[in-house]
Amino acid sequence: MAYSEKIIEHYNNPRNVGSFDKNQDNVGTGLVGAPECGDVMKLQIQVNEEGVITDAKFKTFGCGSAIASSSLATEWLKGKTLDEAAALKNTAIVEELNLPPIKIHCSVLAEDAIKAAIKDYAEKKGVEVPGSLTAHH
Amino acid sequence: MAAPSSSRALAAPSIYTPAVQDAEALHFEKGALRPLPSPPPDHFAVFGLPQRLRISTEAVRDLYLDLSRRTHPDYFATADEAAREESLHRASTLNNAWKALRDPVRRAEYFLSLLAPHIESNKQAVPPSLLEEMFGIQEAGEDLREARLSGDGSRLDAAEKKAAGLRGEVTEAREALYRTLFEQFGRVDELLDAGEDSGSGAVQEALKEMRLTLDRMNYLRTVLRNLR
Repeated sequence: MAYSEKIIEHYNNPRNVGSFDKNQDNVGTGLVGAPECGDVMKLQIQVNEEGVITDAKFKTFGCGSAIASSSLATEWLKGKTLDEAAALKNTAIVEELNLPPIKIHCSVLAEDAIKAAIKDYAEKKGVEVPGSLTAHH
Repeated sequence: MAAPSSSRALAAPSIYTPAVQDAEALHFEKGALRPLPSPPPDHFAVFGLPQRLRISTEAVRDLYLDLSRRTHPDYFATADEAAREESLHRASTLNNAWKALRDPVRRAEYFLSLLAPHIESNKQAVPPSLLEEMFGIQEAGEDLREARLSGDGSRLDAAEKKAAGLRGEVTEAREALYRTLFEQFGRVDELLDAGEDSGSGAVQEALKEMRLTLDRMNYLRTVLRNLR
């Protein structure tokens, strides 16, 4: 299978690998998994008082597409408000990385991780969860 | 066919063996290969089995080997082109069916694709504690790989010890899940044997449970692979 150059680039030079202390109150943590393949992905956001994401980190145990998806997601999250971040869609990741159909679930995983991290942060802070997250489920 | 009642606490589950005559009639006609019907038989029917989860893999393997020998393309090397093609095609039909049925996890996945294709893996159904555990084990595997590269003997010893302990735990958890899976096989088969429709609520509920067990097994298989 031919992977796009962007996937390979993110896989070889993943951005923002690592973790924040999940007990800090300005940190939101999302831990999600893909039962189809057993991949696990942790994505964390650091948020300032204005509700803007100042930094993001991830650690993913999974295939190249899962790593690239989460790497790209952390890049995109920085500087976004929680509302903007909550509106990020996996389809944008699919487009940017040119993911093949059988790897689309990797981008879904990244979207799930973003949402889980925002929810975790909002619950911790006692602030309202962005509207686009409560619409589903 | 209902499982026979037994005086023992746990009734011995009925385990299906191939109906050899049915398989014979499906594959041969007067000693020659009979073309497969259209639509083609499912993987169970290829071996004269009903759509059930508890099957005797030994008996299926014996039949698979027997049919494979007798339909082998070598026997048809001098036959006409249609027969040669038929035999080639039959070899792959038999191989695919055996591959799908021999392993319980694959068999369960195939069974779900036949009887409940709409049941999807449910990410929400796996408890967060399991994910945290999986993540921790993955990190131990990463430590182990880094320790190997570090050239630091005591660090490697510690990482290997930890990995060995985790491997033991995961293996045990996996065995427990296999036992759960076999129990669920029994539940599904019993419902079907009792005449429940495969689309009925009870059967679909039992299949959902089975899906969850398979999902958990996927996580464990992946972490085990990364703990080497």
